[in-house]
Amino acid sequence: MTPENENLHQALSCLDIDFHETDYAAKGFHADIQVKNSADIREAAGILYEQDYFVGFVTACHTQPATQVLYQFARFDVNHRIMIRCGANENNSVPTISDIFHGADWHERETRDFFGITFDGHPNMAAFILDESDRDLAPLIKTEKKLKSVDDIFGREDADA
Amino acid sequence: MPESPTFEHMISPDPDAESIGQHRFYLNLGPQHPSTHGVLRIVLEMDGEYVIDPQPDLGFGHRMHEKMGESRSWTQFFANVGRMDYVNAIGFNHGYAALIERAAGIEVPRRAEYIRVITAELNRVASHLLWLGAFILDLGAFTPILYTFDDREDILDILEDITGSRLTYSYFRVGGVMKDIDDTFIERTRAFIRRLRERFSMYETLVNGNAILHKRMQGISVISPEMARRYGVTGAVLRASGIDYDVRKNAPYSVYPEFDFEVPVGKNGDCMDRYLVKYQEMEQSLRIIEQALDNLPDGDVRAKTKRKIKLPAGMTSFSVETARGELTYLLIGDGTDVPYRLKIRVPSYSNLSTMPELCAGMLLSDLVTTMGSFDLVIPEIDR
Repeated sequence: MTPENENLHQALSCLDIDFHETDYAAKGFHADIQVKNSADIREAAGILYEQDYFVGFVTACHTQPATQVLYQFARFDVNHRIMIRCGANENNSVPTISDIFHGADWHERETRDFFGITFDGHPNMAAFILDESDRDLAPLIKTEKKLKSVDDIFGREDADA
Repeated sequence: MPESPTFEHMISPDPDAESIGQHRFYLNLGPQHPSTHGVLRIVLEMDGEYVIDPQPDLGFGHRMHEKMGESRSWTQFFANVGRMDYVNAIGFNHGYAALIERAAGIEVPRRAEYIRVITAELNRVASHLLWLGAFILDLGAFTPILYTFDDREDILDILEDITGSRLTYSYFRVGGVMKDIDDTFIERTRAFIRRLRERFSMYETLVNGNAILHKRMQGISVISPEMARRYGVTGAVLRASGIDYDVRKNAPYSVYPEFDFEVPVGKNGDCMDRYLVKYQEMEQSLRIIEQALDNLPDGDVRAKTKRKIKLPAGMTSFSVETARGELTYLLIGDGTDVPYRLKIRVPSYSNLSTMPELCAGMLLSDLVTTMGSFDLVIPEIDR
């Protein structure tokens, strides 16, 4: 593991996560981290904030059984970029991190527009990029025919379970 | 002589004054306002001439590029990328081509990489020249934009010859570029570099040293390094705050590590530093172009690739430095030649999201200065 990955793995070890180092040259990021319980995402964001990360973006990907919320974080001082993935809970929501990383505010609103996922605790979930009349459109939700399972999309060759 | 009117109530919102709140009103800036440089609406809660709460309203130019990315093959999507940030289309070409190459494991010939860097940097200079003129125009000086447009026209002519377009370029291909450059291109580019360097001394005398310009920009909308990190601010806006982060240096791609160039950094994080950082970046781009032209390798400009490339399942990310900051594409493949999901992270989206915090309490005219210093391209934000 690279020293940055090792540090981060250590810092996040208090949470129930699945930490995978990835090949930067092939993937474009250094670690692929799955947060198993969406309630932990705030704590993870708090740790990343302490570790000098900035938020690249927040988005989602519609898969079965749960839509995956994706976060990209990176650092200004060293070349270190990570992806964090976390399944939305049964209410199709995840906790907001917009009070920890203020830049996540607009990205979470955009994700609400495109996927219909709500971010619990977000101060303003009104339509943003889409019009208010398209509030329930969720254009990036797949049709049943096109929908794939989370393992088909995110499953790793070396995954043990 | 009649007594001249006083405007005290408009210029001093004393928090203890009884009049507070009496002059509150809402103002719509845009979506059709010249200073927003596109269809951006900002709902401003005002008290006199002071902005209390600015809330940008996006989406007037929204085309759902990310949905289009999922409904056509990656080659068909190529025409879309230059239409997001149309001022720096080649930057968006570069990121997308490199993303597919990374996902599919395609090697790009060195000559093609050099041509990519040359055209990307030319396009960056064109974008910066447009910003330079338009920003100063925002501040009330009309003349400079006529000069910067004249300079930019030269670049558009040069690029038109090899790309076939003047604005929304689709010049890159997966595995290289569409067409090789010729001697005319090299000659004209060298002539342009000489010309722009001569113009720099004029811009520096006439514009950069102007006292009014300094008064309009110094100390306005200061972004601290901590705030920049909280919002994910990138590009010249970030570097003006003293953080030395440029994707070309920090996460090098293409052949950028082979060139000797500097990353201009400010220290105050105000509009003045943002202006100076962006201004100095043009010279650095010229240095890169010069070195690339001097060392241009021979060979092919496009690798042989299969017609239909299947992208592996899972995530692939690629970040490049566009004229406005860090652009990241995230591709999620499912083993077919159509992306399952394509996320496009554009720099100005995160940069502009600082506005409600950054501009609360400032004069309306300073908000216009701030927007100008961000170098916004609205179709890029709206996608």
